[in-house]
Amino acid sequence: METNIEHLPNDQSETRNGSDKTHLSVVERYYKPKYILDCQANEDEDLCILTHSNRICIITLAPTHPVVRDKKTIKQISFKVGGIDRLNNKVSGKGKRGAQELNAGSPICKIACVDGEEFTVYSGIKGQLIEVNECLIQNPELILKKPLTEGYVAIVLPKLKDHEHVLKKLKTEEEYRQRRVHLSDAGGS
Amino acid sequence: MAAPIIQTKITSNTDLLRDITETLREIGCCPRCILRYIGERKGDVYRLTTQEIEKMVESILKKENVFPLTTPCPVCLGILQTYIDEEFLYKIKKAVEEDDYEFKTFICSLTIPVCILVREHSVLIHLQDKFKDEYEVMTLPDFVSIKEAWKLRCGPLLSNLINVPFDQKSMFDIAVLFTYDRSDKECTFLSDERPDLFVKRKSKNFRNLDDTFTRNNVIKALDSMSEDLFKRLYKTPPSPPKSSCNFLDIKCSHEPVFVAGRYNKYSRELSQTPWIIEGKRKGESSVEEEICNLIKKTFKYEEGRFSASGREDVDVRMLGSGRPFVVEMINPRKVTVTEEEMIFLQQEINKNSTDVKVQDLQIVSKEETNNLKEGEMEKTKCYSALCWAAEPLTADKLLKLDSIKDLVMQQKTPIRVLHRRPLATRERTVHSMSAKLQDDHHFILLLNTQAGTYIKEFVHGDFGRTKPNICTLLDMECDILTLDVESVELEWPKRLENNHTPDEL
Repeated sequence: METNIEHLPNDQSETRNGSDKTHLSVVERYYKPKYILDCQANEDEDLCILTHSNRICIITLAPTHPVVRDKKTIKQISFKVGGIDRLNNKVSGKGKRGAQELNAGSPICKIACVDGEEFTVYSGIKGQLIEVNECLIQNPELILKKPLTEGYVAIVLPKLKDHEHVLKKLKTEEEYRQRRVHLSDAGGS
Repeated sequence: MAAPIIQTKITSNTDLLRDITETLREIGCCPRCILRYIGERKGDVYRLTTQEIEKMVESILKKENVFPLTTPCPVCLGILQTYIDEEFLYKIKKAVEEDDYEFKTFICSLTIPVCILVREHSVLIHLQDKFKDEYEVMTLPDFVSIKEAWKLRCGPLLSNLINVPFDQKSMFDIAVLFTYDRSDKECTFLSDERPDLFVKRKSKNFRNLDDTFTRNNVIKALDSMSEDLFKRLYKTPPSPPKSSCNFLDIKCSHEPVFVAGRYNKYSRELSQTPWIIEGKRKGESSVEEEICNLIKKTFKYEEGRFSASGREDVDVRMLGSGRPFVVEMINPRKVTVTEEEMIFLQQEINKNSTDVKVQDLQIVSKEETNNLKEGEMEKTKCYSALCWAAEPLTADKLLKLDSIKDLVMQQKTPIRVLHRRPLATRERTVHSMSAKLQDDHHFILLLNTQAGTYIKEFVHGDFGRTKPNICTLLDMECDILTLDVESVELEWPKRLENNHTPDEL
């Protein structure tokens, strides 16, 4: 199992209140966080892609995504988007046959906020859709409270031949922190 | 030397029998092949020496000095001529001794060139043409085969030479391989005519690349071919061969022998089997290697197939009375050991490894090994996990867990194995739990669960994909720091006396 030594900034490892925490969290242990900034050229709509050594990618909202950053009150999260119902995604077998194919620009879900604002979350990477987080339909606030764990958006598996290329295009933790300077300001608080 | 009474032949008419024998002699058949084709079925006859058989055939022919032949037989290609003498058997004896196997009985198998099937077919058609009444209803299986004739003669001789009895059910096989250079060429008319029967098998058996023609497909092609067509495409009788077939090799092999036992693992960095990712090895050793390396030294097998009743992750220890395992030893040189030798082997394994200890090491039968996988899914397993909780804990808070019985949870395929397993939601039962407080944020969770439960995911929830989980039950974020398997409930292999449990060592 690959242990990830690139720590998440403190304010990102959500619900870490235990002051005596001496171990890495599940996310920290097994996943390398990578980032997409201004996804699909939408300002600040950053994604955090949790990449596992087994090629699985978990699409999550980065802490700088307006929904998380501004702690929006969410009215509804819908997986019916762009004429496709992501809930119809069915995969079978080890080869995940029948998975919906995603490109970087494929929409996964729509977040409607109480203030009338609407956000579309895109896949950000090319790959097969393994599952969407159906819990978000009942509990949309999970995406705010635990964006990097229970509030994940979807699980995507890039094809073996694309995998390296997909990873290369993503921003590293370091690049992300440099580009989002305000984060390190907030880090100490 | 009294010639055996002639009987059990294709005809009781001695003149006709002489004509048939003469026909076979004309096409160059060796005396043993002649006997086969005139319907001799008595084993004793085939056990006679070549000279005795030559005399016998000459007496049927009412001629003298016909034999020995100086040309190779067009049917057996010399297998029942040159490869049946004592000199050849000494060669086999030498090869067997060099291979250094332990065996108490033996069987012998011959691999003969496939084109012999075509040649035998051709001789039979020739006989059917000339002696319709006698041969019309005969098929090749009605005659003693080349292999049978060879074994009848050589089996007892070889048995004497190597001083071990022949046994049809022996686990030790002496395989004698013959080839004939022109074998494939002689068969091509079959594949030209019936290409559908000779499709090259893909992926299977890369070792035998020239396996276009096999016993099965050649017999099929011959059976489906009319006599007229066969005569046009091949020759009846078969043409005399330019040379005998070649003796290629002698290969000894022993049926697999199984060694079983139980292992404990005390490391969190040792995988059960060698861990290789994209050709690169991860981790220095494995449970399999720690156990098999020394077993291999003792039994000198070619390949070991290790299997166990389930597996634990690389970072999980295997404690208690251990996990049952079995090693299938392919082609072992040594096959029996005394109780003392086995205990010594077990001690050696335990001395050589700090992380792995074995107990109850013993030889088991092939049938018994089925027990290993049978119990795998039904049995319950006990675990002990060191867990962390985000919020301060009290013993009272943990009591909640102790009261939970037969908790059914929905477990989605964990993300860490999702790349190689189908996505599914499986129902798994946690039969009982008990939690012991360590300090404000740590507790030890003892679990008794249905086999196949993913314990780590039951504790941390795997992104909410296992529900309920320890986080939802305690209503706070929890994590698993270490995990141990405490018991695998399978009473196989049998417990041995004089066996210290590894924990005592």
